[in-house]
Amino acid sequence: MLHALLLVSALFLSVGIPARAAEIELPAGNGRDLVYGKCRTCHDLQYLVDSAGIDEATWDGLLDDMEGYGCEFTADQRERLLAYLATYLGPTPPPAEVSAATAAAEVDGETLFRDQCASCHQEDGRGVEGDFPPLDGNPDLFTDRMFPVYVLLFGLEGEIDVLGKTYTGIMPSFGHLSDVEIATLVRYIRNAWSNRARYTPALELSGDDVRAAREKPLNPTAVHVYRAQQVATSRP
Amino acid sequence: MSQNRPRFGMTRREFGALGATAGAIVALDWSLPRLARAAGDVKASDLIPGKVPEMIVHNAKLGVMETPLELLRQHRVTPKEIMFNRLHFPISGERSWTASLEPVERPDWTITFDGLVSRIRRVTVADLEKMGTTEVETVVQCAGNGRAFFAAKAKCPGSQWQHGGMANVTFEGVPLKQLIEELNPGLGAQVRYITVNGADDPPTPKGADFEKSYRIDDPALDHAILAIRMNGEPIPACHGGPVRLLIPGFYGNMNVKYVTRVLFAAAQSPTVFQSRAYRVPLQPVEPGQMKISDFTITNSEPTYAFRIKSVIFAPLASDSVKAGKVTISGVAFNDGQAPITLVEVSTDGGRSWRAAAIEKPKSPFAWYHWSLEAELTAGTHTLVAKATDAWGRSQPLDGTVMWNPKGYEWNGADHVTVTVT
Repeated sequence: MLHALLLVSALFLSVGIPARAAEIELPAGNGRDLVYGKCRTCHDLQYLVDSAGIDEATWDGLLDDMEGYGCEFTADQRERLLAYLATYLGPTPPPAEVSAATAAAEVDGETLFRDQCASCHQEDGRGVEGDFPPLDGNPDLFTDRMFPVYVLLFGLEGEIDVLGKTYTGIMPSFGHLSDVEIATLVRYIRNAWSNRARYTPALELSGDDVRAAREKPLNPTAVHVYRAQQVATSRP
Repeated sequence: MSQNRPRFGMTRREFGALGATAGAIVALDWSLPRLARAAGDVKASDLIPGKVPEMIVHNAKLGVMETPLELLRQHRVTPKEIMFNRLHFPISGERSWTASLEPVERPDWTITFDGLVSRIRRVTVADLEKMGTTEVETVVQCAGNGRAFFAAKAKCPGSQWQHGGMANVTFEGVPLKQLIEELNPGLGAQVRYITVNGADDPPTPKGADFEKSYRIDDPALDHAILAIRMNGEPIPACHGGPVRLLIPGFYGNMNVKYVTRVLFAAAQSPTVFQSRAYRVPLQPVEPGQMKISDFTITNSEPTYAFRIKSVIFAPLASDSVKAGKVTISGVAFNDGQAPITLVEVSTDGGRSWRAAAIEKPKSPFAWYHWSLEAELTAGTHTLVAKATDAWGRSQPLDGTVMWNPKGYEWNGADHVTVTVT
């Protein structure tokens, strides 16, 4: 009951401010989600939009550059990134309808994690000190069934303490993922590493749960407030 | 440099959020900035409170923004509220720092002088305050300023800066050379470079740290200061406070923010920010001739000194211009090594030219104001401005001849097309 009240107040909070952080949307197409998962670690997508129109060799060189700046990708991921960038942000992008038709869904939890989460939270789920909190052992994954879904759908912005350390990185929205993908991803993370021991069937999520959550008028700051309330009530 | 990482900003918001009562939360509504994220939607004032909302945002996540010339031209000394901003990384665990325009007062902030020295030295901001400071009015300019104009030949990747990635401000601090002399760290005979690093960190474990190296015998360093004030107040957080290296006449990336370390070395820094980023080829290249990732320390030069440049401030394409006598005005600047002696203005797209009146600035590094009265008839006119200095250095009429893969150092003669009614 208390939780329900707090959620209401968090929702009330967001009245009068934009309901969703206005994310830059790239054309739909194979590999777009991977671009979202990799490139937003350091900068937002305007950098890509502003660069749109450059040729494949230049995108290829940019990927080398970004690797030099610290972006990590496997050979397979690099290929998928380049194919997307050169096609959809290249000199002659296909018309929008064609772009949408070729968009493919990924539903394997581990692949989703590697493509979408590992750039910031790291393959081993331990995060990066100061910027990105760990997912391995992060109690936030278990205080509330829906909280991780809100974080993925709407993002989270604001300072947080996790396991005694402070993190200030901005979590962008991953609302570009499908309902099923988000449910799959949350299930995967809640069962990965040491988290497995804390997983209970009560935490189970479906795509329908995610679809319903999309309707909530949350934004990154409201999710941050929601989290603070969760922390205040669950960890006295 | 953990001692240099204060708790900063945001505390009120965090405190309010943890109040966890409906009342506290509703009250919080007023302090919820930085929600929008998209180009066009996002306001600079939401990203960095205090910046005016009219700023042109290039990267919301990092608070990268430029100043519309309509605003820039209104001030002799650019106020911080409209100053362009470029950030590579936030300070780890202190994101709000780099998103704040508040002056940073940190007397305990420490800078370490080490490397090939006999004695490692440390100075604090309080020490710098006690030393003799000098103030310089200077242009600061992003190396990518004007990148958008290279697209006339071939688009260069990255933020499409127009002319507003520049400002004319005052910085005050301790001259670097004088400081090194006073600290007397005992430089080794092999020292060829100074490398300066700041408190910002890349957000990924394999990320390259941002630092810059300069030849220790570069005459530009004779004017360099470790700055602690900008426009008369402690340097605003997003502009590099509490300490920023300021090398007048050098492109903005050379003015390292949040300085924590000055390293004396035999070679330049191996970080890609020195060896691959912010470089221009030694020889002009055509699009496609050189891959963007092919930069090395031998085939290219860092974006050190400003190329000579002039920018038309009035009239702009957005101004309504009446036929008759029109004052054409703007600014010009170079690396400060030789005075600007001539600004030529054309009202017919470059077919004929007249010399503008030049106003000499207080400092050789500040921008020169120039103006010319011309008779303009109704119709469309292309105004062009071109500066020349005492060394004969000038601007190419077609700036794309200086095209380079990363789109740095645009200095083409400025063209503005106005419709006169």
